[in-house]
Amino acid sequence: MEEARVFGLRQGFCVPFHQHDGSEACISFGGARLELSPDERAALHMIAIYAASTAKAITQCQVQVEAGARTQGHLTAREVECLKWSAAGKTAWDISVILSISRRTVEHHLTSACTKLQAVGRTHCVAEAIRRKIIS
Amino acid sequence: MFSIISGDIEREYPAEFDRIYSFRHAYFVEELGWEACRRSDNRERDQFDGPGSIHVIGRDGGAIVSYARLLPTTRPHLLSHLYPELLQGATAPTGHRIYEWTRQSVLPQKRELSTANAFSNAFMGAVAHVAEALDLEGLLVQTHPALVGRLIETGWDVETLALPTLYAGALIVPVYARITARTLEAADSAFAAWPGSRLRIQGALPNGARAERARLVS
Repeated sequence: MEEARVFGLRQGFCVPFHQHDGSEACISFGGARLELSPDERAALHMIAIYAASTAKAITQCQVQVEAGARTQGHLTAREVECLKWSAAGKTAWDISVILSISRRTVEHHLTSACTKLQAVGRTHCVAEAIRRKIIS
Repeated sequence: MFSIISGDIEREYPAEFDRIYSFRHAYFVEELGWEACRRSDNRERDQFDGPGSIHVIGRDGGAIVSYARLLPTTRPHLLSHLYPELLQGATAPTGHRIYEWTRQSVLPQKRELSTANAFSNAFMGAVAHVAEALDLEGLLVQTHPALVGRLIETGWDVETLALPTLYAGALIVPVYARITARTLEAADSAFAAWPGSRLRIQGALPNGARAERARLVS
């Protein structure tokens, strides 16, 4: 509360939530001065409802991502092999020679691994595979 | 087990409509104290009930345990003719693909189950499936603001039509809830979480178009 005052938030309006699943939450609005008409109160109430539902959706989304992160992401043996060689600094061409498969196939395995691990690029993909202990 | 009954139920399903109106009287008048709806015959029926109404019913054994009524917005409905002042000058969408969701009710014993609302979630899911079966774009809902969050969380795209106001002593807000792919996903999960959830269609559906589709969930 003291900290809020330091930032000039002297007065506030709070919307509590007793949710359907038994959990509780609260959305607070703060400002230097708060003079709300009944309509403004009603509007803040609605805004808080939308905000709380969105916050809940974001939290659930994170839970799902974390649950996904704990799993191996169902990578195939070939995808794991390509990732291991990538982690060892090999290029797609190097890997194609090592595994005696075409370079395009290597690219395909790596792209597929990226998708499964929701990685944005090859470096991220290798990092993600290590984080999930798919490769060491 | 959930079912939709539509058509002229007072003619075609005399036993059924009597059960529906007594359930509504018991719930809304006896339980919630809506005195304006009290009738000497203990049947709660208003001027909006008619052949165009769609009744969504949840049963346990033979008894009705949950209920919702969908009214076409192409005819007089609650928001247009009972309490248009809720809109405070705003306009609400209407049309043949928009219905009004009214008389939502789930028996208290069904709400207090240790299975934590699984039944009432499944019933809300049934309403979503009905809306899809009717090929609706969305539903007008007038409800307590607290329930708006629940609509959003079950995948409805909720547009607030006007600020919440007091009506007969209760805070109420008019919203338009559009059905989305997420609404149907949430409905499917709610069905999966309540074993035995199925939707049965009794009578011909208005709009006709998606009867085929509705059969998929039955």
